[in-house]
Amino acid sequence: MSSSQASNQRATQRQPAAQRPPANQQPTTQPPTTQPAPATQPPAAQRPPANQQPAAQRQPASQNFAGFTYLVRFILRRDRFYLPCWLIGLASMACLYVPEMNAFLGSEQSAQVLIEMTKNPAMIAIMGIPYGHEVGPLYAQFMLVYTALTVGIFNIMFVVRHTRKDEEEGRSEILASLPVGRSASLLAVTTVALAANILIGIVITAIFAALAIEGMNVQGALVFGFAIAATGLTYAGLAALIAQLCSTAKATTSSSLIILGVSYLIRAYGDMQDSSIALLSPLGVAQRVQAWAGDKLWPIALLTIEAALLLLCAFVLISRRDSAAGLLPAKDGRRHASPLLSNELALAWRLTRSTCIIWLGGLFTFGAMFGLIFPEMVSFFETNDLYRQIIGIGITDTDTLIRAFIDFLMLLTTVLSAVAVCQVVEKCLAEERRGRTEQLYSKSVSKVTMLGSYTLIALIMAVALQVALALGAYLAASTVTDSAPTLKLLLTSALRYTPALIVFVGLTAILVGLAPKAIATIWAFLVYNFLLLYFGNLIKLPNLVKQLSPMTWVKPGASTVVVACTCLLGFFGVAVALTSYRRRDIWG
Amino acid sequence: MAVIEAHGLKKRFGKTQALDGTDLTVNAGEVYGFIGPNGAGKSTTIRILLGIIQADSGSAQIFGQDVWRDAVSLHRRMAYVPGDVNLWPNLTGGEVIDLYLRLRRNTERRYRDELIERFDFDPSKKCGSYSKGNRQKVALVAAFSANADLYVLDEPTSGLDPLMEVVFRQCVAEAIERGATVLLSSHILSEVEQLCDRISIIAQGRIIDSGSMAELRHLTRNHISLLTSDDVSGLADLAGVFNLSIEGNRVSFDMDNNQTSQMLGFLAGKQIEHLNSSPPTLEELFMSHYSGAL
Repeated sequence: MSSSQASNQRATQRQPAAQRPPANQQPTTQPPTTQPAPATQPPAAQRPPANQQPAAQRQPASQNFAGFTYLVRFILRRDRFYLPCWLIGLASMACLYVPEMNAFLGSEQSAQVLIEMTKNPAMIAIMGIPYGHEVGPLYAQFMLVYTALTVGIFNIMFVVRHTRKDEEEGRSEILASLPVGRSASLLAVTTVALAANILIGIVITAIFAALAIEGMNVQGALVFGFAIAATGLTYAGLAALIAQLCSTAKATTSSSLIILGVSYLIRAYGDMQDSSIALLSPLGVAQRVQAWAGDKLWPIALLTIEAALLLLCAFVLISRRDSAAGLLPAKDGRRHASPLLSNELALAWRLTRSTCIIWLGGLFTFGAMFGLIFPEMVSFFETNDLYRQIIGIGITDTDTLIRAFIDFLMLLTTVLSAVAVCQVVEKCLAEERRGRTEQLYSKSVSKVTMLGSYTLIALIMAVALQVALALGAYLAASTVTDSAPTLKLLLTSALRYTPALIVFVGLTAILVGLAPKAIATIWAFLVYNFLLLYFGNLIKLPNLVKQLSPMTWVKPGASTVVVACTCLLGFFGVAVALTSYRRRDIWG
Repeated sequence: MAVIEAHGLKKRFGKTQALDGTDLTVNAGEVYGFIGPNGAGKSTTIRILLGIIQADSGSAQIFGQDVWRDAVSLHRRMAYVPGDVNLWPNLTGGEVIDLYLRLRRNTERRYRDELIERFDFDPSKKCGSYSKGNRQKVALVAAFSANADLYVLDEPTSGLDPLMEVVFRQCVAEAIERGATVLLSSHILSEVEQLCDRISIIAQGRIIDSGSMAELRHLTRNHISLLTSDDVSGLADLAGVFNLSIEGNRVSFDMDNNQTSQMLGFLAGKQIEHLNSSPPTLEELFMSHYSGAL
């Protein structure tokens, strides 16, 4: 009988309770009886005398950071692969194109093209104000902003991963119950981020020193490397501050990245107007070091101060808030699901909606940027004979040249659309990895319909993103000039790349369906496309390497057959993916 | 001597008043049960006691020190096991246990290894591959090898199998034996009954009842149902029998546990086909005893 058993047990367990020694009299001197102490270790003395913590030792200020060194070691342990990979990747990205640039400048004519190109307002908007014709200044102009931007993204991801992400996942709760100061973990992340950025600066300098290229001395390399490092630290500070305000990792990451994007736009706008507005953006400040020409140090100092201020705010806020809470109030959600949330497609859309909206907004803004600089572009083409000769070989007519240039810009921006569509399809796998699909597929939900829904959204996005891009360009251009390119021209130019996007959808879907463990391949492939399209023209590459990118298949002048085949290839990929996804096991 | 002393704790999250004047006093050397339904404020109280969140008003002291201001020095003497343990997927369980111990400057490995064995835990696997019960074991091993003076356990056995629950109870008993104090939050009444000396019941952010197990005997009333062809209406006259209902040969009633032998004596001569005794669920308790009070 369970009731009498229970009461018996209680009776026997309660007896010793009466005989228990009061804790305050015999604090920790009794080792547990079932944990026999070996004779070699005097038990009572060995147990740490936790009870003897004297109240006089209370030091609230320094206690805020108690446990700091252990947490630093812990971060290094967690990221022992992640950090070196990023460090090497970022540092080599900063130096990768030095030999090519050097070779390119070897010939007088190509050097002249490059120098002319940097004067193009569009290029100024994209890369910054030119400040020299030597290899060093040219290289820094082409690479500094982009490397700093990427280092910024790394810093944001790193800081969020170790602050808000840990809180959100509830991992920091047990840590907080240990003798660890409230600000210790933020200080640990900051320290590692600082060290990582300094290391990036040092590695960049070391690589340049090793390359020993004439016109790129170590002093300039130091300035170049540490301008990047200081920008990185500023964005680390930004992410640390935002992590205190937002209550989820996702909100923290997206807000930080949006500010990063806006700061790029501010720099672009400021540089185009040649105004000091660009100094509001860390990227604009970083560029003003004028590596290998002026070698100015004040931008690095300014960035360091900015980073310090941001971090200071973060530390003030973290000591004033509850763990796991954000300072910005999270608003109540819906009490009931919207009637629209009723099938697989609606669920997939609900889960990818914010990603889609952010990307649509982003591409619209990029389009608008091109639109705004359109008049400068036209006058640039009209006055610059050399550029006309080189870019539009054999073309002397301005309209055709502009069209060629629009195509070129659309091609570059399409890489971003590709990232967006891949992200949408990959969401299907991300859900599985987080263990959320198990629940879902235990209901009457078809796996094919689910992956199909994500794919369908991605396919619609493949069109919508390009339309947003063209529309942004059209609307912005028509506000600043009467001779704006027609919407039809822009749409044709943008939608030309949709078949390539379909191939990306197909590829991601195949990975989700067939080889989920190899999903990272798609990101590697995107990086490859990015590098190829942005820098491929600077390097002599075998044709086969260039042909690997679906973007190059549908470039202007591609035959209808090729375009149709590209579409078909993408759809074929989707079909294969759906079949294999239906057959494979679900892991979570 | 009171180890935990909390008075009038209030905490509001947006529109929700999570705690509305919670009082709690836990004496040295006792196992204190803290029970209540989901969302009653158990975890909020515990998080305030741990200095993880700050109460809007009220005072909370552990070992005479303020839980928020002196959190770090207090945590050297406390060990906490949450009900939902989240870990870093790419670290092994053993690594996480070591980290937790190092953060409290504890270099003693003996208890750790022994507890790993007792909890039948494999510390060499990545945390990402652990089941809920195994993640729970990480926190339990880390806590009980820490030799703390105060154990704060928030639904610590969720996901553990019955064998491991026995090990857990032994660990609590050993901790008490060496002079520690335990605050055990749970919604499993039987667990609290078996382990605790005194309990508090919390609902909607307020302590609605507290006292020793003996004082709260009405909580430990069992529900008896039996099948009999004989007439047992005499049960109504026995002390400690409540809510008797007889429908044909189905009989059911609630009974104070200390009246068990009296009831068995009464039933001894009767023809009993089946007898089932079950402890009341927490939900039943709240419905029968407190629905009026709330």
